[in-house]
Amino acid sequence: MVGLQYLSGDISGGNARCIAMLQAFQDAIRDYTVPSEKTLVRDLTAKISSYVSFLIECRPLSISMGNAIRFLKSQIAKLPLTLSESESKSSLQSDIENFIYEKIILADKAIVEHAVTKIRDGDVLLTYGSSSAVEMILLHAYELGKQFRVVVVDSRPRLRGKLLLRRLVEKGLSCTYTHINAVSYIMQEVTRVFLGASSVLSNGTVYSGVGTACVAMVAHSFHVPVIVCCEAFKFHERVQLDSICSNELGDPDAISKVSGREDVNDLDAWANTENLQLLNLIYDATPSDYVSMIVTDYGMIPPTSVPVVVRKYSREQVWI
Amino acid sequence: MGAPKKSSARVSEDHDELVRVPLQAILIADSFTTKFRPITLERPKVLLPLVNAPMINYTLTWLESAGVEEVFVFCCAHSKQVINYLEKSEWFNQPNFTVTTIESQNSVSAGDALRVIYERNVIHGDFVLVSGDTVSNMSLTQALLEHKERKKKDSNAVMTMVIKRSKTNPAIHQSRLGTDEIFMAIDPDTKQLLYYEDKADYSKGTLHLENSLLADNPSLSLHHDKQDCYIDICSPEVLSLFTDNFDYQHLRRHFVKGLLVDDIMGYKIFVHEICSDYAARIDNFRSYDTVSKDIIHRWTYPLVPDVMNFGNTTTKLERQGIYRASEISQSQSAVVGPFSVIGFGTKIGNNTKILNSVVGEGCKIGSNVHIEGCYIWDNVTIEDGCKLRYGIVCDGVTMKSGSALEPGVVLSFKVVVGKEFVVPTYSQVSLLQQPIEEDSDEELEYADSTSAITSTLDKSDGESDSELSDTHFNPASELGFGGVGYIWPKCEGGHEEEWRHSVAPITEDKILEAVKALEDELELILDGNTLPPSGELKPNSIDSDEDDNDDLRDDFDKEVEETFLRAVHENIQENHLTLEVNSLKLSYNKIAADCAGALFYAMMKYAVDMPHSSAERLTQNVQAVLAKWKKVLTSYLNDMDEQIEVILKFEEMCLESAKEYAPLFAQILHYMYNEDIIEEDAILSWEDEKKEADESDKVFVKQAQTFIQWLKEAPEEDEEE
Repeated sequence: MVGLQYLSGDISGGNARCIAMLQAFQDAIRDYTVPSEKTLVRDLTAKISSYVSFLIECRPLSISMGNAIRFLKSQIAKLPLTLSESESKSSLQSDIENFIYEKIILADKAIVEHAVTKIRDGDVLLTYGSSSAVEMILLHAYELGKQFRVVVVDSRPRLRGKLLLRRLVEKGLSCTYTHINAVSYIMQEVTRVFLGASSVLSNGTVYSGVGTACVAMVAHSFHVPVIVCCEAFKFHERVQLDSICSNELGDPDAISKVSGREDVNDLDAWANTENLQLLNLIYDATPSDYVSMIVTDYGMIPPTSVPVVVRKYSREQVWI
Repeated sequence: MGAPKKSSARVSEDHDELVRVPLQAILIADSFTTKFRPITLERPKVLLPLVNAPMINYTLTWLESAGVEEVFVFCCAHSKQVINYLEKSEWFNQPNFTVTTIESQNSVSAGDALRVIYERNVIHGDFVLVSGDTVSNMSLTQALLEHKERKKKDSNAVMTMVIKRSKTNPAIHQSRLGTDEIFMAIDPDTKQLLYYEDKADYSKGTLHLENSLLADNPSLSLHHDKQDCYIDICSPEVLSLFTDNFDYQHLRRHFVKGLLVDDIMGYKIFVHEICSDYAARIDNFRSYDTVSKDIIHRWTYPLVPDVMNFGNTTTKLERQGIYRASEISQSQSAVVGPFSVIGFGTKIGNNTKILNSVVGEGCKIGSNVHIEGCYIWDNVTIEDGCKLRYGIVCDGVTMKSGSALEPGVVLSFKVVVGKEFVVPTYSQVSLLQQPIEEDSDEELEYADSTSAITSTLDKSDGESDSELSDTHFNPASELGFGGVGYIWPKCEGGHEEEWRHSVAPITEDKILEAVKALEDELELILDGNTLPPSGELKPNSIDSDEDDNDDLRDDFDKEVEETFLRAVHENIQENHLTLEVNSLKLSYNKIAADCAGALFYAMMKYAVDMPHSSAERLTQNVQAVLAKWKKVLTSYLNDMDEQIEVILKFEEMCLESAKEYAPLFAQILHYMYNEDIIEEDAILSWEDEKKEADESDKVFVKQAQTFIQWLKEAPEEDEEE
């Protein structure tokens, strides 16, 4: 069910996907009974793995989801053998509950608290795409009565910025909406760039929706500070230098077709042409040089300090 | 900019197999309303500047770009000014685009205007009918094509109305443009307009559609999210229709409704909906504000200040929607906020803030001035320290230092606001006195006053300068020290409406008020309606205790009484009253006896409430009422039990609520017997019932004793005979 929602794109965004997956696991654990002659630890791990592979079939996992799965598996492995079936099931369920609450919801609150201090009156804030953390920051700052303007930059084919824009405008924020093509024009008036991230890698590279790197680079060249908001559970010890070696490919149709615009659909028969390849990347990697600061639940850190958080975070996980 | 569109429009016409006629348009340069007063007393509405260009320019530019080749400008009020303006402008010597003016001093409505045009016999084919305050960038090609296709198939399709989707505020039932919600019924397949209502009565909360409308059309979609753009593509028949029906005045209220209701001629009106194009009409101050903002936000492209240059000044668009004409001198410390327009040669002093406003040409704005959401026209002088919020300031106004405008103010031409004077909110200030003739019909009123005004205007134009100094102290009292102008007294009718139509944004409390009023109305509807919630929503009341039951009964009695009184006052027919009482009976779960009792009670109460001097008079009253509504009552009196109920009720009344009846009990009983309302058996069994009752209850039995005695003897007499 959740997998199909991923496939159709109904659930998108790192946090929403992760929460949906964890809740699905919670349900699965509730319905699960240990088959005879098997131990819960082994069998459940195998079961979870099979679920995960189904999810991967639907849409490749994001790094945050990978982290969450690792956490769940380690929790299963750590279950004392003495616990009865129902006890261990409920303990797992509460573990998942705690994970969602602490690592996602509380983390977001902490990020909002930190990042709001960076918004001053008269600021013009730019954001790209739609990030739940950035949205919360903007709304919170607005509730605090800060005077600022928001520029929402969007891009085809997903146009997720429209949703964000709609929610912000409904709340009464003053917004400007533009596409990424115009980012160099609009950057002149911007005083801060707030970006969400799918993941932050240990060399400080920010792995996020495609286009983020472009926005960050333009901001850098205009000397506008780039602030990335990312929960600590999305951090990963991997090191990645470019965005091609590990990425997700979207549906090529999405970039070749423009719905409602018959006049520009010149690529309709593209599948037949051999010398054409359509590339619809989902993510890109922003080198740490273009990132001024990363706001996470542990505080505001420079991108060079990411390994510290990764280390601390993984240690914490061991301790849980 | 109109070149490509023009050619495409022409292609479509050539496509037509008929003889090619140049596309014509009628532009009515008069709105025949008084919404823009007091400004329109001195200048016609079409020449009022909209983002620093007269409104008529927007309409003419659009017509030209949409492929119209011949425009007839119909002028009525201030026609000289319109004609002079057009002569000076470049509109008269455009290639492929001719503008002709038609002048008429005695037209009082759009209907009259069209009749005059018909007499001139200048329209030869389909034409576009717009008013001179329309701002649009739509392409007419598609709408024209649809209109012609339909016309070919059905010669009765005389008009295509352009509509646009819009969102209305449910609390106050009006759109962004300050116009009322419109209800339209449209056939989804043919796009035929079936119903049009722009003045729906919200107090009733219902909308009345003709039965035949639903019967004749298998599918019908009812919209209230559409906005009427007041752009119509008409066939020549429309003009002759106006001539035939000389009582048609208003385009929508009379003509459209007339065609829709009157199906003898079988003429049909269709709609054309535009999605991405812009079209709006400036009908009131609020739409003036909205359309101005839309122009500044470039929804009307190419009709934006930096593209269409009227006159010789150029306007440049800067970041965040700031438009600046040339030769502006602005102090370093002055701030011009986003979405503002500053006209040619304007001077802005130190520390002045201009937010979301339009400032015209040659204005002098002093230091420390705060301007927010205002429309300031040409040659206005604003001295130091003024505060202006959400107002319209016309040409030549002077605001002395320290004065302020509260939201919603309109300052007409050459008004002077005195030092430190605060103009109260929603006030309208003019050099001219408010015209006294206040006819009930606003359309007629305008025409009446224009003739009167033109004479005063000529005088005031010539003498205004000397007059200003002469009468300096007289109007000064109204606008503070050194002020010149009259604050118009608010008329009662406009008082409630002013916040709806002013340029000031609607304040929160107004919306709350409106919402509350709406809720009150709803409650009223619930209270006064035939389906009160108490009867159905309290199922437990029946078994809980008897008090509730009594309450319920009282409710019912009251309802019946109200229904009856309404029937009396509004002359509702008997069978309708019966119907209503029946529905009450069902909703309260009552039996016929209850209805009879309640109805009887209501009648007697009504009779006793009528003025009466003596007992005799009262008896006459009762007899008159009973005679009139006998049918209703007897329809519930088929059974003896019900008749007994009526007698008991009467008894109760005599004892409690209407003691006047007490001495007349027997008399009225006798009358009812004579009128066959109550039968003999009922009276006798009533007497039987009362035999066991207390002595005190027998008062009326005793009183009626002779009558009962007579009744008992009567049948025997019959037999004897």
